[in-house]
Amino acid sequence: MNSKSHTKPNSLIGVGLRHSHYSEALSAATLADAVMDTPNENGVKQNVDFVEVHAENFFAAGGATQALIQDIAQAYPLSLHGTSLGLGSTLSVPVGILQQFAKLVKSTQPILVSEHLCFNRAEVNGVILHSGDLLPIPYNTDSLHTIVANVQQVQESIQRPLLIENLSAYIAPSQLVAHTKDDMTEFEFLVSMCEAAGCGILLDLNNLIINELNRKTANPLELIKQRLDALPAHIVGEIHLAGYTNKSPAPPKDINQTQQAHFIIDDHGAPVSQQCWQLYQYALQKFPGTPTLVEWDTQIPEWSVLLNEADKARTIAEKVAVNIESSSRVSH
Amino acid sequence: MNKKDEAAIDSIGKHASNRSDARKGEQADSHQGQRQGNDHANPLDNIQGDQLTANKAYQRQLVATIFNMQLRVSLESDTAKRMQTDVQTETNSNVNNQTDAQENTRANTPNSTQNGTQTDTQTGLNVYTNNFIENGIRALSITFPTVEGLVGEDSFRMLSRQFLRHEAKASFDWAEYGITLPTFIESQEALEIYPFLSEVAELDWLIHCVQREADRKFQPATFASLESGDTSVLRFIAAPGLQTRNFCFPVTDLYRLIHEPYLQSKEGVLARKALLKNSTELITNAINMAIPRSLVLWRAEYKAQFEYVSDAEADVIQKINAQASVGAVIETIGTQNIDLVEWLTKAISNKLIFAVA
Repeated sequence: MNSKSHTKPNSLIGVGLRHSHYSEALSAATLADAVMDTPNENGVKQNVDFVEVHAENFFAAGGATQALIQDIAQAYPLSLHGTSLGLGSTLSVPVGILQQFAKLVKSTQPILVSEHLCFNRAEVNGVILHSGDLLPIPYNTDSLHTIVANVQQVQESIQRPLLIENLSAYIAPSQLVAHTKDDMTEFEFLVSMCEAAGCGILLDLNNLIINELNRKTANPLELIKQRLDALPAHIVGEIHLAGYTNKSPAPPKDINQTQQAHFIIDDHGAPVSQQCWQLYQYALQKFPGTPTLVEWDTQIPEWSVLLNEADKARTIAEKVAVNIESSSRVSH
Repeated sequence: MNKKDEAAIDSIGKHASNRSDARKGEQADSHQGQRQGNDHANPLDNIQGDQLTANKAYQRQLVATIFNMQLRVSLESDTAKRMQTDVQTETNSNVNNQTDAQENTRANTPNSTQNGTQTDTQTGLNVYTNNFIENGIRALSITFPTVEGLVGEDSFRMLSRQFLRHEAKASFDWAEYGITLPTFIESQEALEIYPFLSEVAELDWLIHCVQREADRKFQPATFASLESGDTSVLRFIAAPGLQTRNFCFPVTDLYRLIHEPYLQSKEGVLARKALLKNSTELITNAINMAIPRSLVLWRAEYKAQFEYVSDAEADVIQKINAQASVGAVIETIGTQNIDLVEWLTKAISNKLIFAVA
């Protein structure tokens, strides 16, 4: 693993490591820069404290991806982000999949392991189908029991706590089946889940923003800040930052364009949004020192652009840390 | 993660474990109640039973919508029947020849009386349907790069879209999806202009699988035991993914046309033309008189390798794969009139076999 500067702020800052950046992230020059904390041509230090990979990309039994993940784990502290377990599914995670996941955790020893507050599969006409997507679950008591049982099963298997990421959702379950009405809010659900399962929250600020924008909430950031205020600080184990492109799927022909709901898609296809930076600063005051990750998954930019985003996060984190320290000194 | 975070998360675990223990019984009890048909006096059990059934109905409904499937009704309890009635009442089953998202929303969207809610739901479902299709196309293009290269991006998207509608995804990992694409291609009239495409898809799938096979350690020193060991007990350890398959069309040439860097370059234009001409002739020959050739596939390092072999060599490889003893393999080599030393030297240097044990 690479060594880091002694002046590192409290929050670890990472980036999502995707296929197009593998070779650059693992190049000798990049790793040497990271070790030496070398500034780039603009005088800005460009390095990351950890990288996040999607677990399923390394599920193959052997071959190049297995060698690659070992190289990545040698070069960087790793965050392993699952995208396929669908822990809110009423069907439990098959043993074989759980073993693949646990094997990867064991072989890479990541600093963080996370999944999503979602379901992804169901038995349809006698066959279990997997949507390959992150689908929203109702926030009711029975969903809570389901996800707690599944989270506990995974945690027992990997012998460590999971972080569960809040979701961006494009429908509410009750829109499809009226009886699935929520009996708690998303955050109440998350807190209850953490208390019962012993997991933590991966707080995705971009998802919170997208949900409120799609709900046409008048003052989305204020509403989200109020919710963050009610969240116990100790359960937030990681923060995700991202941007989005403002586009909507093609409307069906029989829907008048003026009636067409305009949805923002959580595509991680742009720089971190201004709203997200603003919210990040606020969130860090609430949850100081939380490891933070910049995600960029579509229309992926140059590695250096991604690192610049990480540096912006680092600047904010340092500023918040200094403010907290100053306030603490004053109060003493 | 810093120490503080570790401590925090650790403390969550410790803090929650007691609560969790306390709730475990409650959770088990509630699930028990739900399984027993929700006819208890305890009102909480009934509420949770309703929730569980509703949650399951919702999950089935959303996944069925994404896969453009109609749910068959097979529910027993009163609550379940009520849920299903809700879903069916909300479902409009007129499916026409439209785009995937349009088909799904038409087939499954709640028929709300409020236009706003209806369009919101339709748009939301469109997002999930489109995500599924786009993720599927992307995954198939990674698994079947030669097929995509030969038919072009637009046709590949169309093919993938139809395949995604035909073959429901059951695997957790997109990398494990697509085994039936070669058969599906064969059944498509529109693809008759590409008679070789099914075999190319099969080669793509095989390469993809070979590259994901579990690693094995190459142990050249173990081959020394061939001289002194008991060949009736010893066995060759094959390279990861070692196998033979028969192909009638010139799949290796078609693979080269798409993937060999020199053939894509300016300097390689003439070579590409020549290979194209030769491939066309071989395709015509295969159509007129299909004579299958054996192709051996294996993985020496990280990349899958493949080459044509004689039927005799294919027999030997099949013996190795069948875990036959070294003695039996040597006997097959003799029967097939293959030079043992030459074969063994090549098999070891090409890493077709990794060890003797």
